[in-house]
Amino acid sequence: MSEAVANQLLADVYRFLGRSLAYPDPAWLAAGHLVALAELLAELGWDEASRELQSLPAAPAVLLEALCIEHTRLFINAFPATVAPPYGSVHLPGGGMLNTAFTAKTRAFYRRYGFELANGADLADYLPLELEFLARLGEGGEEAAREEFLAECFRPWFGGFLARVRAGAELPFYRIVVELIDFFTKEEEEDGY
Amino acid sequence: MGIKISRRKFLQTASLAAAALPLSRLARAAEPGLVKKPVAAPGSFTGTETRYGGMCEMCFWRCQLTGKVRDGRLVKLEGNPKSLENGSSICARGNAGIQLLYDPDRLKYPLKNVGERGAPKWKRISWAEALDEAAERLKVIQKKHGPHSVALFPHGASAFYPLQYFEFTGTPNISEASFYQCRGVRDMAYMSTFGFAPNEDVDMANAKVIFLVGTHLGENVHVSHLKQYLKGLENGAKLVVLDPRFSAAASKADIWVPIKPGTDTAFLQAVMKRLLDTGKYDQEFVAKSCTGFDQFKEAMAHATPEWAAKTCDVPKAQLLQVADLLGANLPNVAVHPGRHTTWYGNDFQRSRAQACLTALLGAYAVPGGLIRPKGVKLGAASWGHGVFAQDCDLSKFWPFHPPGTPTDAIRETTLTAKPYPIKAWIAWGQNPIQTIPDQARTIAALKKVDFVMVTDIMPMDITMYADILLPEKTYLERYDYVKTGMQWDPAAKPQQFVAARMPLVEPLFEGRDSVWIVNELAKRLGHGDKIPVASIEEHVDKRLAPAGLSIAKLKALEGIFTQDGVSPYAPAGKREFEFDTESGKVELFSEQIDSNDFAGSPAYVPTAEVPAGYARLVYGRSPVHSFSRTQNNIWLHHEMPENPLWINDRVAAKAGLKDGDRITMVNQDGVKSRNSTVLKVTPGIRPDTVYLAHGYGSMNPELTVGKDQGIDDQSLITLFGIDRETGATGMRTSFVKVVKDGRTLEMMV
Repeated sequence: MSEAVANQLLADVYRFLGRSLAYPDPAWLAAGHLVALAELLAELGWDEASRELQSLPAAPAVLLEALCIEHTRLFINAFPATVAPPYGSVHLPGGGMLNTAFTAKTRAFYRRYGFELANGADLADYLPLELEFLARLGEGGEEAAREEFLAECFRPWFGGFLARVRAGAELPFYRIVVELIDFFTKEEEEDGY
Repeated sequence: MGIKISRRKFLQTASLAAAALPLSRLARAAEPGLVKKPVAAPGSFTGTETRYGGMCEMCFWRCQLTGKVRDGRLVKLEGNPKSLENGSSICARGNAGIQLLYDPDRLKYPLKNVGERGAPKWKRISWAEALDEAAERLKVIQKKHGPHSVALFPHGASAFYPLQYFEFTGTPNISEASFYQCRGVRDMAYMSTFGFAPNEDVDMANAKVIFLVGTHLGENVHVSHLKQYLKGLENGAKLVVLDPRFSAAASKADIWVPIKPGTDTAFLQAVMKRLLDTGKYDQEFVAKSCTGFDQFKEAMAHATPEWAAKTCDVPKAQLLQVADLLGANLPNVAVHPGRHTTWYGNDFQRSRAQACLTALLGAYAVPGGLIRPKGVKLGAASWGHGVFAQDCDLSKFWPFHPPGTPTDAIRETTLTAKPYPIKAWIAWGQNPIQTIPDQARTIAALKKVDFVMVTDIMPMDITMYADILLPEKTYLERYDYVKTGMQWDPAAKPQQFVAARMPLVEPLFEGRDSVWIVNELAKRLGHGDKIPVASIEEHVDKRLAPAGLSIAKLKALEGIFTQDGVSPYAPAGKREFEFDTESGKVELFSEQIDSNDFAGSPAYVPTAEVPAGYARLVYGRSPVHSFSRTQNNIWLHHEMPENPLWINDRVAAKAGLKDGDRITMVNQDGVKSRNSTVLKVTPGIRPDTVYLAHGYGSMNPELTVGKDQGIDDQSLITLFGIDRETGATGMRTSFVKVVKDGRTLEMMV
């Protein structure tokens, strides 16, 4: 597989994982999102996650309800506490606030590579937006920029977010997705991980 | 993690092409969050823009603001230099508004509780789903039990429109904490005396004496008000403070009277008797502008200095010193009307006494006195008055009640269904769990009703009990309030202003303004054809229209319109005024009050004595918090993370307590504080009294900063008084003991 194809595949994976974090709706389920995720897990040989995914409710309405509640609990508002708001600034040391200078830095990075937030888009350090940006960089062959972005704007906070999702997720779906984001964004080691 | 392949290998695997297809198709169908734009060179700097038209809502004073906005992000708030009130100054809370805007805990989308009230399990739903469900449930309740079966607890600038709407639908069961647990008593007392509500319009800046009854300015911070207070002190005004605690104001006082709680009216009566006895009152003003003097004088006759000194536990000489100081400086005496005045359930009479003292000193429309600022005439857009069913008025037992219905009457009716059922509670910007005493009964009522809807910006104690929870835009993201008034120093060149709240930044998430929410609800409840304004912008424009203004014009004026004004002082020598009372005069004795079987002149009604071994719990303001609304604000939390319990040093010593000890509390009914706090051991509080700043210790763990921080004073107030004239809630009537290391300690000297 050529590098261009690999880059496109990685871009698609980023987008797909970002899309997985959008608020669930019937169309999203009907389009086969879980099937695609299962295929990705199979390709990766992550059998345990595949089995966990199969443990989700089969009935679409029940599954959708469960995912909506879990998404709200993890990322929006929850009692007793929201598990992991998907915004970078919240997870930085001394953070705890939305839309900080770190958010502005992230947005500036987008601009350096010719991208701007679309109308109605969420804050710049919203995780799915960062994944989309990584996808765009990959499609443009900007591998160095991708690494720089990951180092400067992504990895400094993602570890904290990941830890909170690992500890707080009740359904496997979002934990699997966030683990996959980690897998596809962490610094590559000698063995390729 | 059990992934058995490296990322590199995964991407290189040819077989993936097949697997990639559905994934890629789904990925590429996603709505883009980023769009292509010309490349911005590294180091490109987006300048800071100043936006005008902000109006603070961190408290109710509503200072005018500018916002420094960089690339759409609010980075700093400042006072609007054009403001005639706060100028370029704002307080700590005003500065910290940014943190509210960007608080990760804020309510972001409409939520439905699919769990239990009190232990909610939230599910994000669309606005259409939320409004459909709310309307359907309200419709069922209104149809079965009548429109008065819906109760509303509104607060803040955005609540004006829902308040109007629900009243229009036919429910009188609307209770504002700002009236029934705050200033309603004062307003009704002054209306019965002077014919108008006083606000805090007393000219401290130009007074010779400032007289504060419990008001603790400095801890109670409102910028232009403090400017007036401090200018008065700078100019040499004498300061007299009645307070059982050595408050920030007491620390600046010429005379601090550490009065026994609940006896202020007796003190005021004795002061007025002294003025009458010595002839040191404004005889011309009383003769020309007051009525009921003889009955008033007779009603004060018993209030000897000896009686008051004993009743109030203050030295007689100090009482006389205060009276003589006031008399010697009349009419330029600022008798502050106070704001939070619901203390003991006998408060109407105390506020009446403050109003009568003001009149006796002739301290009206003169420098230093009670004044009536004249702003610019504004327009209105209203739902119109509702038609209430016969016999549904729960407020009829309190003939001098403020607008709406006494809160406790609504709660008891909810719990007993007598005289009729109340089946829905709606809270709009109010947190009734921290505003109303006896939280267990409030929670029982919340659990009893068929439907609870809450609209707010942040998670609060009350939001835990919502079935449907709606997010509002913050005050930095919306239009709403229109304010008019005059320059902060009444003696300066007369000017008037008009300012309207305008958004400083684009709204985050899916918050909506109250006009939009109510209109959508009204359409679903069959009132679509009665909607008075289509949008909040239209509402603001209608308010501005009589002044020849509009949102667009105000924007062009950097948020504030000013023009020459009118002095609040009467022409020199004028001592005859007409007031909007029944008699047209200041009513030192009120026939109307008397005919309702209450004391027609201010009467002292004792409050319950402190039981042996207990201390009276009183509460007040912190300069860095606004009620329970700022508990989660991390900047303000940093300044005062918890509310130390003030305790007298001799009481502490006898109980073996030290400054800084961590303690909990228990009240006379055995109710324990949920959290702990630290002790502030000081000689600056009476031995029979302990003090907490209000607005701490939320029970809602969704407040990641504020949860479990400090003690919620309201959680310990289970014994409370209902003011007989107004139905307002007296809340300094509970008694507590300190608990340390599991031992409950006697509060004794």
